[in-house]
Amino acid sequence: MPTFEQREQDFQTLERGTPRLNAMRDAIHDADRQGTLSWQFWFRYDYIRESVFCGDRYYALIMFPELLQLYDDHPELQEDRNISWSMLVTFKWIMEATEEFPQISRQEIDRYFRLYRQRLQEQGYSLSSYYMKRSMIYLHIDKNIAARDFFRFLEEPLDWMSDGKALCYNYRVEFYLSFGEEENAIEAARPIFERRLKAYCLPHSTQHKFCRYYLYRGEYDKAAEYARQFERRVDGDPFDLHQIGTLVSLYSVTDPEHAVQIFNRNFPLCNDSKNPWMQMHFLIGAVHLFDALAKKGLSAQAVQVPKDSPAYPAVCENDLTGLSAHFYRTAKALTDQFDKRNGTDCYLRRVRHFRDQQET
Amino acid sequence: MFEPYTLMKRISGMPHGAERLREIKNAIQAADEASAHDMRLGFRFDYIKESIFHGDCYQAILSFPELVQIFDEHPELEDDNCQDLMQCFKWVVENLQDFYQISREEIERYLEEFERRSKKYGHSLRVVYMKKCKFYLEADPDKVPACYEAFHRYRRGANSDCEACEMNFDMEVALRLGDEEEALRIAQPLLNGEKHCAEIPHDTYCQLAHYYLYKGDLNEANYYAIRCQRLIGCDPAFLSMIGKLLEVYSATDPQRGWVLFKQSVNDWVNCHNPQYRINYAQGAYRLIKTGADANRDPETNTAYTKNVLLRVLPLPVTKEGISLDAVRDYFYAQAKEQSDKLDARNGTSYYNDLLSADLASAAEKFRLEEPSGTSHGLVGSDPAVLAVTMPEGVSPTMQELAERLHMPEDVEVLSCDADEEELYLMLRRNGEIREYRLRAAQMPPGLPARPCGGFERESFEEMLGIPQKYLLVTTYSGQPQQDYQYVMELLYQLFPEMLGVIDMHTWHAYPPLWVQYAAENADSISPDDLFGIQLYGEEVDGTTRIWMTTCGLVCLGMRELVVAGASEEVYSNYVDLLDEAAGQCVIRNMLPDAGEAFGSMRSGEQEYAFCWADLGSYRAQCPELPEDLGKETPAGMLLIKTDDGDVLPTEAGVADDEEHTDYPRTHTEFLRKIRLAKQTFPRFVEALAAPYDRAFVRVEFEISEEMAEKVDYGIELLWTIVERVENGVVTVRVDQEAETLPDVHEGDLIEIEADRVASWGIEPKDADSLFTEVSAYMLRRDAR
Repeated sequence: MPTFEQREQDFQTLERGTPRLNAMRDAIHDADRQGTLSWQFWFRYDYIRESVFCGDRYYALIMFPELLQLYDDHPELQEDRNISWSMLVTFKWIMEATEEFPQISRQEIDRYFRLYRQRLQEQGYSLSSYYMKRSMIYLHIDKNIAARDFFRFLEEPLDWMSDGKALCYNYRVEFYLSFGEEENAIEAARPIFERRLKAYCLPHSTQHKFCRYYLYRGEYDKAAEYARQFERRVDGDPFDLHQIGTLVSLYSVTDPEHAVQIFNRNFPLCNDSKNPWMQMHFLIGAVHLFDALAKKGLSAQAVQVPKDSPAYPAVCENDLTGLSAHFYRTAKALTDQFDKRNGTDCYLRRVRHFRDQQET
Repeated sequence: MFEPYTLMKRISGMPHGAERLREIKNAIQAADEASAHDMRLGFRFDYIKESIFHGDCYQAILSFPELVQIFDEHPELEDDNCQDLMQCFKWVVENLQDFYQISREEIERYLEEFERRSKKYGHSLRVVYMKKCKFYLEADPDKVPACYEAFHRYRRGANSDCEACEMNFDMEVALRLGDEEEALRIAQPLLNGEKHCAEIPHDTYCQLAHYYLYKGDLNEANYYAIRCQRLIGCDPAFLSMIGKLLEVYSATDPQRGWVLFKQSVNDWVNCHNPQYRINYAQGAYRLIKTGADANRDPETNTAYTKNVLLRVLPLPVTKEGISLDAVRDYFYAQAKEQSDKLDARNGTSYYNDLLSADLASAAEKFRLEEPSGTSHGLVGSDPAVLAVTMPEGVSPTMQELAERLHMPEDVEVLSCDADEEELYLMLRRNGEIREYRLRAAQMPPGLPARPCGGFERESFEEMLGIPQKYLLVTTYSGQPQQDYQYVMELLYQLFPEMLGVIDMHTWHAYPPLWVQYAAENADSISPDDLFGIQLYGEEVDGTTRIWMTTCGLVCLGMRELVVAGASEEVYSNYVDLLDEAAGQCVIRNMLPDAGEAFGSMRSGEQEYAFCWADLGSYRAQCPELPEDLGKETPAGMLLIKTDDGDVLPTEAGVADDEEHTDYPRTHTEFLRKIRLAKQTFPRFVEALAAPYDRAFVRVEFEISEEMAEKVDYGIELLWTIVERVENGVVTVRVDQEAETLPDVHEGDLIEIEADRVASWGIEPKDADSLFTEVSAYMLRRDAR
């Protein structure tokens, strides 16, 4: 019977994503059965980490309250510096992920943030990650609070709990673009594009931000320039569906045929995803695509959806109006949830972006 | 219309301090007018934080009650703002004791309220007791033990000070109890950098400096004072610490103290915090007392200063200047007045005891014992002296030199005073004040200068043969390479006709072309311009033993480094070793304590670090070392340290295999040279107009996205050969290929501009030398 150490090492031999998550879930059960406290913690930590970085974070959100409870109920875990550090790191990942699940209410998000801040200060860490994550979330809730936290984030020193410098700069780009400060965003992106700052999701995440920014400003050439740079990296990646959605939106305007190809390749991934935020962004792209196809009088012949998809009949009948309506309903169901949670209409406006343009 | 984002953005773009405080105040007013309660709290929080960390806490104390009132009036904002409120509470409570206007009862009421609210919001009481303890250390020492015990009894909480601050506080308590050993033990993680924050180890160094001053151990006091000053500079937020440094320097290094005093006195005038004012006034009093006594005219029994920076003080200015006795008395009166008030508030004599302490006796007693401090790498810095030689018959007066001064726009000329004998300059640049004194002097023949920078032998000899020199004296700040470039800029401006410059510490002699080049190019100064290496050989038992020492590091506040045991066969390897070790110290502006590793080198597969040790332990095995080495100018023996911690003498031959010895290029230097190549590219293009044998450029190529992800870097550098120049546009032929650039082939022609240049080189026809960006000045023959 392999030891727990051995089992943890064996995770590395498994394919990332579902196979690893399954193995980790089994390990958690075994550790719980044996009551081995540290392994109960570490396997849960591994599970959350896998779900965050190679998953859609759904399982991470489910597991996190268990991990937190385990940690809080056992002071002996809190005495271990390694464990207490890892607990905080997990907290940080979860804070960022809360945005993606509308089931988590704003009050719950705020409560988690207050707890995260308390834990950071108890353990003597900088509030840099607290302000950065909170600003990130509040960009779609209350921009004044997002701004206040952003400028406080800039003042706080980076430490072991902060995101790496590259990710901090990536967030700066997002912040500046959301306030229309293109020059500042370009300046912030420079070290990322010059490869002086690196991270696992860069530079394609930064390129995506610029692409989306120019797309919704109608500067399609500029948007396309960035799209060309990150398209190959994200196409087919189930954890970059939000970026794929932006590509579909852009190409629905500039190259509908190409948009259909990207849609076809990635729609099954959207169906399988458990992350509503990623699904929403992809579906927004789908709305834009089918609206564009309908407006241009193009055919839906090239569109491919699984047979069990509710959109299948409309595809078979080449019913672009029907497809448009279907995806609009599906997307709106999600945007309504997010907007209601956030208290804004930001995502609805995005779905309707091209329709509203047409109307005006 | 109330636009919080615009206000926040404007605030964020401002430098910390008074300007930012004013802007935040405007934002508070706007938020109040808009009844935006969340923002009213938010901006007040920012205001208090700014005042605490970048001001004198005065505005924080004044505005805190408003913050509490708004918070209490809006319970709907409690959840989102209680953590900020408690943080402000902590900061304010800690600084209340600085203000004698706040009665002891009021302070204790605040402490109780802080405790009540901490309990209400479920915060640990650890920080409450820590702040109580801090107050009672001065106000009621009998209460300290109970508070200190309680502080440690409670666990760390959300509002606790950071670990570094807590450790620093523990050290402070140990020092107050006179337990030096325990204090140093506690402080280890702070001193070795393991724990730090915005104010630590600044305050750690300051406290230790102060402690050793009062103990009478001036070497240790000075060492920690230097370390502290390197961190705090002249930042007015650290005015209290600056005051304590002035006190230390009054006993250890009055000249250094005087420079610091001049840089900071204006900040003291504008400071509202009584605690800061007392500490500064006390330090200034002691410093000026020392200065007045040292500069007293024996006939008139007076001492004056003409320094304009002191005119911020409300003291009479006569034609002799400001009386140093008057300055001394003024600061004593200020310190006494504030001490009386604080002691009256606290009911103790703590501040008056400090003011009346007899430091001279303590120091005198210490001097009788064996001086310690041979383990520190940092030492008091010597002023730098540079000697300029003018052609025979050309000797401008000090007044004429003053008239030649035309500084760039970003330089403020605070003083330019010329008399018959001296030109004194005080310039402010990037917020830092630099002083220069220029005097004419006759130098003896036979100066041990070494020609550098392509100095032609004949011109060099001519320069040495002229005894009349102009000596420029200055001290370097925290950026020696930058300071050196400013010196060259100044010298070139004042002495464009010069025959050359000799640095009287490094003994480098530079020709005028080099000085002009250094004046014009910010990145021209390399680390080895800041030190020289002197070699000495001696016959010992029939063998020539060579020892060598750096010269000039002492101007950077570091001890010189010595290498011994070289022979005629391998001494050049030892020179390289010493050059590398010293260069790495210059780049980091740091020489750590004896035995600590610094820098790195590689010999074959092995990596080593440098370290140094006291010379005393090596005299027996290095008989060639003179007895007095290290006595007048502090020095240390350079050694090699292995990964396992073994320490080897340089004689162990680690660096003897030249082929396999490698010294890493630092990223700083790599970037500096690239910038220099770009800056000097126009000279290269100019030089291409004349016939040349070879000319090449190292060009930056951007790697594609996919490739960059694979190799983890984004720019590839390729060598190219210059093909032609037309209308200032340089076309090059690619001379090498790289896997990362599959679309770039040998033989490809491209046009390049300065921004893609990483390095260049040209060998003009009939020239023996290859010129690169480092020697670009030698390409231009007309120096004016």
